[in-house]
Amino acid sequence: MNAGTADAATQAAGRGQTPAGASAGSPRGLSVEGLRKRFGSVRALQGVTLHAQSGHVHALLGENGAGKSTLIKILSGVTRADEGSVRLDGELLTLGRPAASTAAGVRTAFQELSTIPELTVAENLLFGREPSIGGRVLRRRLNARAAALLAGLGLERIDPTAQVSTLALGDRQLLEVAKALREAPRLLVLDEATSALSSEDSGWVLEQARLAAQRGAVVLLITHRLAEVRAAADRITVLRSGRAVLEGSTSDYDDEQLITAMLGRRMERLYPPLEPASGGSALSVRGLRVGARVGPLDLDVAEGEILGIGGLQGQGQRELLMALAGATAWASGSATLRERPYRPRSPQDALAGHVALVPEDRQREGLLLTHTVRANVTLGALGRIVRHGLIDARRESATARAGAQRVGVAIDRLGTLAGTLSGGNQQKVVLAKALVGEPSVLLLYDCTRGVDVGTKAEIFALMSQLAAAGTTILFYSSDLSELVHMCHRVAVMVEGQVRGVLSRGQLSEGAILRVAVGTHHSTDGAVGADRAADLAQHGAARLQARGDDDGGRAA
Amino acid sequence: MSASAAQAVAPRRGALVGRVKISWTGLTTATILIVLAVVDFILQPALLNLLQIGILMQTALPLVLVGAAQTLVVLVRGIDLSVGGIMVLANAATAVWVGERGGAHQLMIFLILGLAAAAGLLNGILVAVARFEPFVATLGTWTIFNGIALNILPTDGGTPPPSLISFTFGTTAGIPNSLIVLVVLLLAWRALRGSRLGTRIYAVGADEERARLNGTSIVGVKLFVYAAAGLLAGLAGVFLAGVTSSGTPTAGDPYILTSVAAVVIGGTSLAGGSGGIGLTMMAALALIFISDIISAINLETWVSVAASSGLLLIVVVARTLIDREIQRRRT
Repeated sequence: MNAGTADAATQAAGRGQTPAGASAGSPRGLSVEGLRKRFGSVRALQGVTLHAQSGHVHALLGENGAGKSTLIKILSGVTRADEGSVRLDGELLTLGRPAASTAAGVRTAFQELSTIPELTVAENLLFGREPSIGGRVLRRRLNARAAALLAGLGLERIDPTAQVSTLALGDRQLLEVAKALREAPRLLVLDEATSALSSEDSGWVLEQARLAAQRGAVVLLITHRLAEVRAAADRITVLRSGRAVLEGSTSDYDDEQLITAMLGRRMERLYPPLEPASGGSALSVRGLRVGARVGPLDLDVAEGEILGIGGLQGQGQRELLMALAGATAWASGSATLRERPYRPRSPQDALAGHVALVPEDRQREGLLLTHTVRANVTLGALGRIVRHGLIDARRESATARAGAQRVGVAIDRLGTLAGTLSGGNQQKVVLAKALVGEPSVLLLYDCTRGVDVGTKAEIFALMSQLAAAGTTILFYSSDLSELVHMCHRVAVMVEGQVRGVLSRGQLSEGAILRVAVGTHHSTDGAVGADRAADLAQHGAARLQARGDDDGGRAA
Repeated sequence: MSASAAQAVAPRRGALVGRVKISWTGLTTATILIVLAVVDFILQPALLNLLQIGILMQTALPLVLVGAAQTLVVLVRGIDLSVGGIMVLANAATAVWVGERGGAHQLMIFLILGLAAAAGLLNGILVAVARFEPFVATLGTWTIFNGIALNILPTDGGTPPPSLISFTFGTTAGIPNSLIVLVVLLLAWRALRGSRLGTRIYAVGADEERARLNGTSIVGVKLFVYAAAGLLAGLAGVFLAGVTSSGTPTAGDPYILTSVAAVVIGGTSLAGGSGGIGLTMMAALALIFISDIISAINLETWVSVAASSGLLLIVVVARTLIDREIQRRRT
């Protein structure tokens, strides 16, 4: 335990009097001094110092594993710090208890989401603040208050009586932010709150961040998208290996400098060159329907081709990839895979046909978190490592090592539990698992979401290599610039159907949006076009860490 | 404006009957109960009067109470094997201590119920504070409570207070007391479900880490839940003494797995966070109807054992098929 905590207790007791610990320099705002935290042998924070003013949106940048999550957890009272202190508007914060942080006005929208799936939207939104008489919750008033709160934030479309488990991931993310905003926060922490969102919803989150700052809050914005930092943040702190390595005004640094600070080295390029796909037809889908909402869908993909699946969030992209991976039943339709009929009834069927999926939610669908990296990598290829019905340890190790090497996971990590890896490394393990089965068709569902720039570059390089070797890739991403740079063609989905296919020459973020949004608002063409232009502008400001020669095409 | 927004939203989770929202899970369980009740009443039309229903409820009361106890614990993703132990502890104490002393029966019974709650609290401390697996912790305390019960009353016997027996068999304003107890239990559950504490119980069961992030005291909620389970199991033991007019220190064991069966058949998830005592009450009554139907057909013992299991299996399969169909239609 540290001396700061004892101080903080005294402080909390004497709140309302003049804060004895107010620092002379900047009394209004967040002041983090010398924060240290170890988990076993891992030093997550090695003396982080950070100053953020009230009324400012302050971006916190860093690769996965740089210590952002640990810092946020300490601020929110979820984790105790080993050393150091945190002051909010001059008052020492009691660390280590969520209730103390909440009482001090800290509100966090967690990346892992703190909403409880089994409760309703209203119950979650007003958790701990339920209107009640003698402990009895007044349900109608609860629902009305939640509806008013959502309406005030422009989220009328979320039904307060709906169970949270029935909401789409994006809506759950919005709900998480709405919950953090329910009382005026003094410190608002947005932990990758936009990672699961479409650009439209991301815009909403950034808008709320700015509004909260205008009302006098300190806003800590954690994101991997530099365009969002440019759009919303006044100042920036970059964390690397548990230390703050850069702090300054957003306008003083360009993207290049920020990426260099995050990585600790210069990065050559984010997007690798793509060779043109020249192979014959690999996968051809006719009249595919999934459930009642998706389809009929027709698709043709060639060997060695990367086909982007674009469109606004929730237009059936997930259903399409899940159906191709055999994870969701086909209502109707047919497909041929390398000139043979293909209709998987289970993920095993798909794997047998060398079709592999990298799912969206790596923690829930992609990994056994309590198993080792080795066991996870070889899970899809048990047939090859089993001898006489038992797992052959030598073959298992060899297979796992080969798989890990391909995606750049350190070999000495094979024995560690998947759950202890950083987000970027977890995603690489999921990729390794998919690659162990030597897939001819690889389905990537938003596999770069919440992944740091360095890991992203590695994943893109791998995609390019695989395509060059003849692997067909279907790539869904919520980041438009990734689709523009990493795909030979992009199929844009609207309301469960492919609304248009853009070839490499036609590809730009604006073009994708025009198909995705323009047609969407077909009854009101003018608004649709405006909206598309608006979104394109927002999207075009996104990270372009590519060579200059490619820059023009994306704009 | 806010009121109209609240009214405009359509319910999604179930059917709207009047102003009460009923879940599909509840409808399924109710259907199972009603079908079994109708079959039983067709086989034995004489049962269809308030007195006979009261007797049936007396038989059902201990299982309903233990089932309710088990439901609370399962809702926070736990399991309580010691309900059988707490039940016989309260049962033996009622038959021996109250019977011997006479006099202030009511006070003594309240003390016994307090003891049962304390026994449940011990489980809660082992699970929430010492962080033992609920299965292992309550396996241990089950044996301890069983031992204490046998120490109080080594063999069947003892004399429960006559006032308890007459209450169990009696009526109030023509309504069997056993039925009144069931209604009171249901109302108490609805009050708990609609309270802040109720929301906390569901939150902890659904996801402890998230409940903690929201500022819920996990330990507090679990201590309450295990203590309340102990109280309900103790109440079951007291009523069992009333129903059988004696103490039976070995009667608890069959109730342990049957209570879990009632929880599952009712539709409460063993994974925690969804379900409720109302569902378990219906399922417990359904189980009582099953045994009543089997005994009405009057089979040889071995056939009747197999037949009641077979009927149970049919109910479970029906419940699963209906749940799947609902799930399929929803997506």
